[in-house]
Amino acid sequence: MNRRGIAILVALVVLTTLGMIAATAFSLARLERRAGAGAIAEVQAQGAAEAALAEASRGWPKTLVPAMPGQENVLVSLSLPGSAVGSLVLRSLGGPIYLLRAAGMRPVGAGLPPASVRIEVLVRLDSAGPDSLIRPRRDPRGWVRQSP
Amino acid sequence: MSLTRRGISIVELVVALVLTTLLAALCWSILAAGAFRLRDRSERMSLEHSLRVVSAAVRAALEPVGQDSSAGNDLVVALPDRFVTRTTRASGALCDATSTAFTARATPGWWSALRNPVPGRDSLLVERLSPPSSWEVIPLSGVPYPGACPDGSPGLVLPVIADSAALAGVGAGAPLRVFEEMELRLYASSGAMWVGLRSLATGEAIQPLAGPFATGGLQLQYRSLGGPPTADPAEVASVLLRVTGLTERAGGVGISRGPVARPDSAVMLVIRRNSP
Repeated sequence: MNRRGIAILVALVVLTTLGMIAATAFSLARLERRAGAGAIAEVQAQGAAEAALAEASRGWPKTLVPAMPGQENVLVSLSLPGSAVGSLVLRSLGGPIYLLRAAGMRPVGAGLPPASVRIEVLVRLDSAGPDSLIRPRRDPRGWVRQSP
Repeated sequence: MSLTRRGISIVELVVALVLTTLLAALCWSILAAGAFRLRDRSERMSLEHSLRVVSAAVRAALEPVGQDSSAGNDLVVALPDRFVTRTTRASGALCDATSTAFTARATPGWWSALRNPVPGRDSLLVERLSPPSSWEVIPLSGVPYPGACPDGSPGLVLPVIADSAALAGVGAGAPLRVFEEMELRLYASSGAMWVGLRSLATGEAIQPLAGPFATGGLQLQYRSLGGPPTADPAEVASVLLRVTGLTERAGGVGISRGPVARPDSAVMLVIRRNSP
């Protein structure tokens, strides 16, 4: 008996189309999730960098002030809840103005590069107070967010 | 005797046709709903991306603006739907300064640049070493070229024309910024509103950054310290941004069928980090 029909073809076309729609929707949802995770990680990385800057504003011993142009000393290194880490170095520019360079980093996961934020602040160093700590004084144009 | 029956009856044909029609209608509705949701989701993602791009651009432009009595304010124009800022394109520190050229240290860790400085488009901001802190604006007069610092390390020579007053207090160790004046505003094009950027120094046409947006979709409220609104750029301590975007169809471009107006908005407070 000969049986001719197109039912299997129609079913295959419908199933393929539905599959493509489902795959694209899944892909869009995945992209959204990644973008969200990246945005949250960047906020946390910025928080880590800001925390390192805030920590440095309390001051540091005079012995940590670099003497030679380009010389850097690490002033702050900290870890925050959520796997974010922050650090801050003091760099000599060769004059009375110094550079505080804060960095924050937070892993994103899922094979994506970590979120990273770098903030630089130009400061002049006030003389040591009664507690012998050097305190930074911000420059009127000192704050700059650099691309990582 | 055998009886042979070939073909189908009218009843069987009608039943088959009805079943096929029902099945086709079901498949069509499922496919159409899926396609609509997919397209709608894609457009909403695009809209959210536009809101994020504009918010990030406004924040990146306004957050670092500074000011002092010598070089003036980096926030040049502050209006409810547009602003002009001195936007940093490169930063570093000088190792030498003469009346015809500034030499910046060019080794890694010293020089940070989004692009190479361009004469006629970029200017320099350089800080005096002697207190109190003050900066000087000096135009870039020629194409930068590789050179050397007095200590022999690699440098980038930035041609300038500076008189003795501009050079006072400027020397090795002075911070340097390369900037251009950029305008960000809402503008109309192709029947829709877009947020765009342009360099004022070159007089170039505005280039789209993101869109489409609603009419009046970029609202900037400038606030002084403590929160009261101000129209004076010198008093601005923070900026409240409200941006209202539209999906592409509602904005007047793209596929015109389907639901209209799908607006969404974002609100952000940008704190001026180098506040007056």
